[in-house]
Amino acid sequence: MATTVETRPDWLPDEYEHIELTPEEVRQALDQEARRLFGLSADEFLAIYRNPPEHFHGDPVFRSLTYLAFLIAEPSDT
Amino acid sequence: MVAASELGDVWTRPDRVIVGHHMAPPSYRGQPALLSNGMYLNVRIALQVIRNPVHLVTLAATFTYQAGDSLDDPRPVFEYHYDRDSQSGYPRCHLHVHAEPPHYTVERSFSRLHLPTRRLTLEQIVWHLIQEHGVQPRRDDWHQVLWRHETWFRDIQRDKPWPYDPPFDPPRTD
Repeated sequence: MATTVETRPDWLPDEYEHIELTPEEVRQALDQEARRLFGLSADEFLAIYRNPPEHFHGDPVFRSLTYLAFLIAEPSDT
Repeated sequence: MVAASELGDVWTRPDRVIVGHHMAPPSYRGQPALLSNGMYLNVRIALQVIRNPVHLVTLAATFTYQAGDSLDDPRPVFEYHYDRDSQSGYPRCHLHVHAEPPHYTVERSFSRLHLPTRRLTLEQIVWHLIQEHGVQPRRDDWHQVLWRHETWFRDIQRDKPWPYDPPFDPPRTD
């Protein structure tokens, strides 16, 4: 049986934290962090994160932001 | 090693989810988990829900073994990347080793190289940290748990493009 947000499975620990965000909230968080860390807007980050410039390869800080991008990238991007 | 109670996820669209350790606002970038050897492991996995039949597809995974607990200065040692739909031209599964071998004379920084791997699991990384980095497991049945999850993954990957075999021996039953 499929598990949904409404039917939290019994085996999941009570302390397991589930956060549900709207795409707008994700974009806002991405924009804030991308500007702070790299001087990039959310749109600029989304445009490069799948094939970033050389100096971002192997950069764990850049990589950490890509996960927010995964949440809101258009299906054609994935 | 990473207590389940410390894990969490962030969900949107509603078909995308990222899973990690303390995925808290405002950045939702997760926090590295402290290991018994004083090092840290940071795990992030991006998943997409597929319907008919319902299952999860891993879009990306990052397992970082690092010396620092700061998100902005993690002081990484090695980092495994899986990018299901990479557009960079580099291997979809690769390892970044944050070291500078003195005999490596190519101009490009060694840590930026994408050292190709097969699909690695979190279980394999945990196994490696216990076996070779002195990390103490939190539970006595860690070998059985790792093996059980490793073989589950092997079984669901049998018909996938990349053949898969667990890289370590099964646990002894005695």
